[in-house]
Amino acid sequence: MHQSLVDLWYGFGVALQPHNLMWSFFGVLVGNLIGVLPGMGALSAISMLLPLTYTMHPVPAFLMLAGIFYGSMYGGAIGAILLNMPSHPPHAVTCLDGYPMTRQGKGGTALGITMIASFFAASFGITVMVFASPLLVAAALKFGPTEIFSIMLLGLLAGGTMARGSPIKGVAMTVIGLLIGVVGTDVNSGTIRFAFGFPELTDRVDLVALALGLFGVADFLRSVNRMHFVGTETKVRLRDMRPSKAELKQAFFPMLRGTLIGTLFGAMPGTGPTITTFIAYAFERRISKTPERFGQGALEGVASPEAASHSKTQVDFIPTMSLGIPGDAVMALLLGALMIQGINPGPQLISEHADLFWGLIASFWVGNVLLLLLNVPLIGLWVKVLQVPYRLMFPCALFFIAVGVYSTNNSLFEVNEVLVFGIAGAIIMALDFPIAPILLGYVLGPLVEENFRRALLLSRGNLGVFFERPISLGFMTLCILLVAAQIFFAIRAARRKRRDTRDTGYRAASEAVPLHNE
Amino acid sequence: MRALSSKRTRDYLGGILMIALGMAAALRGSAYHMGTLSRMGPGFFPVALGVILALAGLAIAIGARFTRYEGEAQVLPPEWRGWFCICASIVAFVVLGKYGGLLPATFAIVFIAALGDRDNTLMSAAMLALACATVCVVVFWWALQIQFPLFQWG
Amino acid sequence: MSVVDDKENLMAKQRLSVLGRFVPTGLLLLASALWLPFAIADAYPDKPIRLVVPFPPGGPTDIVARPLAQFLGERLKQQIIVDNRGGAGGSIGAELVAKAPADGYTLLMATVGTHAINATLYKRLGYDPVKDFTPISLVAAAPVALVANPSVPVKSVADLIALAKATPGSINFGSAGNGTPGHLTGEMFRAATGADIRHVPYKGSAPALSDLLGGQTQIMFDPLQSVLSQVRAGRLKLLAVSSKTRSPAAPDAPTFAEAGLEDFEATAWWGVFAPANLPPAIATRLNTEINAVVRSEGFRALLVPLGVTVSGDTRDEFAQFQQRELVKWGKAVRDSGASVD
Repeated sequence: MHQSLVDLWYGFGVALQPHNLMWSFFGVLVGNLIGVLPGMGALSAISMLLPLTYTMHPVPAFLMLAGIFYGSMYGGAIGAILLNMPSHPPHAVTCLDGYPMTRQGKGGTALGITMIASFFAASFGITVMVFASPLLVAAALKFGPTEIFSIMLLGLLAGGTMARGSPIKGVAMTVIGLLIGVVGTDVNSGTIRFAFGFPELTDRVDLVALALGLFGVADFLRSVNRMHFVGTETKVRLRDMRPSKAELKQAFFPMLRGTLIGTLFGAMPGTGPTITTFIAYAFERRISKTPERFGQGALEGVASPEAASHSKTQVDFIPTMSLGIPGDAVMALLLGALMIQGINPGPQLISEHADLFWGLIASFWVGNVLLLLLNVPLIGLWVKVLQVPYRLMFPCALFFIAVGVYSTNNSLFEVNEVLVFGIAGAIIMALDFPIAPILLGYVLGPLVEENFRRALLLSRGNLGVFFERPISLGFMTLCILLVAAQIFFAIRAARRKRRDTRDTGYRAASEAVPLHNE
Repeated sequence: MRALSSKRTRDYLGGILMIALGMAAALRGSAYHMGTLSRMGPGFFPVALGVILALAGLAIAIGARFTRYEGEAQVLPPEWRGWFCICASIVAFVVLGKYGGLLPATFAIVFIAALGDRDNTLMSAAMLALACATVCVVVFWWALQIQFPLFQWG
Repeated sequence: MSVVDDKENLMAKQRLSVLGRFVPTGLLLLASALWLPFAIADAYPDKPIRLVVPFPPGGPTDIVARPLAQFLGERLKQQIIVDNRGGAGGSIGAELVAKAPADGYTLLMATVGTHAINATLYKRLGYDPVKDFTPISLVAAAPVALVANPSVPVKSVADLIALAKATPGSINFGSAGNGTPGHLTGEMFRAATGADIRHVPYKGSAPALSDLLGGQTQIMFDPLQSVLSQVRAGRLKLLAVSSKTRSPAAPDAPTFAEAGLEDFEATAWWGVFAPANLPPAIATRLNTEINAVVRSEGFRALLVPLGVTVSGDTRDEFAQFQQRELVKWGKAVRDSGASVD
């Protein structure tokens, strides 16, 4: 432990060198800006700036790239909350309560809480990284395909049932998301599935197109000519841009819980920030005394997932650097960047390249401070953007979406995908289905299939393996409890409704007032 | 559209849609090699998902039959103009992007989409489109070096 | 001078004027025709080149491709961007390049898997490894290593065979995917020894390694460079290498032949291909530059310590090498009964 502190101190020495600091700041700034633009994510930003790093010394290069990554997580929240446009799937959950808050004029508050939660969670994640790395790595190795499948099943069920309204509709949407995730070439056998003859679809449906179609375009279709301003038309007061003391207190425990969930999941290989945010949201809603506020602008629904996402992002670096196993596509890119510099990730990285490892960890903290200082004053600016009338804003947003989606893969086909999903999303929402679980299903789809397949391959076809291995048993039990709880609440609610209607009926009958027919 | 005012009808339709999608997925999926449980082929997962989806749809539809619904849902009149313009604008972006270049595509998507809103005049839509086109050139084409020619013929 | 001389001079002058008119023009045309391909080759590359690596990052292919991209980029004075497109044993990335325009700006870091194994292994492949590609050059080769998790109670190949026979169904081997050299070597091992080991494909080496380290699988076959660091850190046991002679990077590990499997040899290799019908000038230029990189000190210093042998080739030699490999691995697929699910 003492050694870790000494190493960390050394790390700060590295991170605060002017040269390294400058590149950190650059990365964080670029990441933040990129994160706000819909369609442009950390992936495109890092790909574009990667060649710059070839001629750089590895330490500032990596500091910059990492800065882009977690900087974009801050930026992504802005688009999600203010415009219902998640530029990164984990932020889809933030839209659920963040956007309603904006429509109630509390967008600034939501942003403020997000920034604070992000900073807090990131700091916590960094601390965990510093002291618990070897432990986390050892724990991560215990997770085989059986355990990962069970976690994902829990995540899918939690994500599907967390939305307002019928949980079975949520599950249906999750399954649709899983099916959309199947579109493309099967990794194992090379078979092309559900591509309907379109060669562009052999490489899967584009994630950004799906997210922006379902959240952005679908919302435009539902709001056009029906909304005049995003948010209230009254002037936004300074007070509305900063969260009040009461709101801070309200957000405190959700933030804490979200952080813990994110850190826990951060250690598990193969789980991304998306599933973490969904579980954090579902958990908050489950334990809340007033769950009906969720989806309408509940502060907890913003604080917890954002905290989970940020702590997970930071902790995610551990398996990447010490095992050489990337947790998601961005991490994979970062790994590649390391290898170009001749640094092989693996257990020896920490000892052979102490300046890189500890400098990186220290720079996370420095970077997060920079982001906080950067974003908080800008909240006022972002909120002013909302004062633009909706009739002018949505065409511009549409343009940003089209260009953003095009630029991820230089493909106009994907812009078509946005339209298709936009229409589909609007129809689905008109039929009272929730759309967020679709995104969750899509992101998890291939992983769920891969792990399910592998688990059964290893167990030679024995389905009981999910209940025989202890960690997996734990998660499967949670799944069963979740489903049981849903059924229980549904029955109870139906019974209560019947009782209320009956009472009303008696009263009405006695007052000779005709009942409303359905 | 009036039919959608009833929550019950919406649930019925939703359920039926899910059943249809689920069966379609399962049918299409079974064309791929299924394999056994211990050596799953590419068709196994899609078929399983399709079946689950169809069952969920069934549950929704049955639920619609037996649930008591209270009150009428608020239904807004359909916005054909807005819907048409938004969809057309995206199509215009794709078509003009392929045959005309980034700049005409940008102008088109903003202009047409803006016309979807009744409060926008032809002039304000055009001005907005022009503004966006400028931003496009400066931010996306010059600063971010997007791989999309501003103009192309054919 | 005599009158004859004058006439000769006149005729010579006339001849000269004919020559004078047409020859310079003809020479100019000829020169342009000869110069043009060089002009194209010289103008190439004028924008970044994409090197498609058909596996996820961090695997043995990446370990070869990334330094190649860096050094080659320096020589060509243009950026070379590595684009990882993993899946289906490399077929997805390979198919992408097969369908790309043959302008020299999309290249493939091919492997023995994509260009010698998959053709026989996969029933339906989206590309033809010979007709759809222009061979450029071989780059590197390495033996396939057999590694085991330390908790598996074996110290040698013989122990492993005994254990597999004593407890059938208990040994699973991971690989970087269907059609990778690791997969095939494992199947060949199974066929040669009768040991009941089950193939578990992963998407790339990194997740397969991760599960091996965690004990989800017991053994793994993969090119040496991707497992060497774990072996040196003591987290994995190296049981054998599939080369004819011991690898200098791991001199303590016996070859499969030494361990009792005569004639058991498998070499993983990596080479660069471009889409079919690449202009010869560009192909030649690439071949020259890649050979230069392969001979350079910096490149060798990065790869040789990891157990990789680097060697270039002429384009013809490479094409012939590929033909021999197609036959060899085709036979191996059929004999071992390896299959995609």
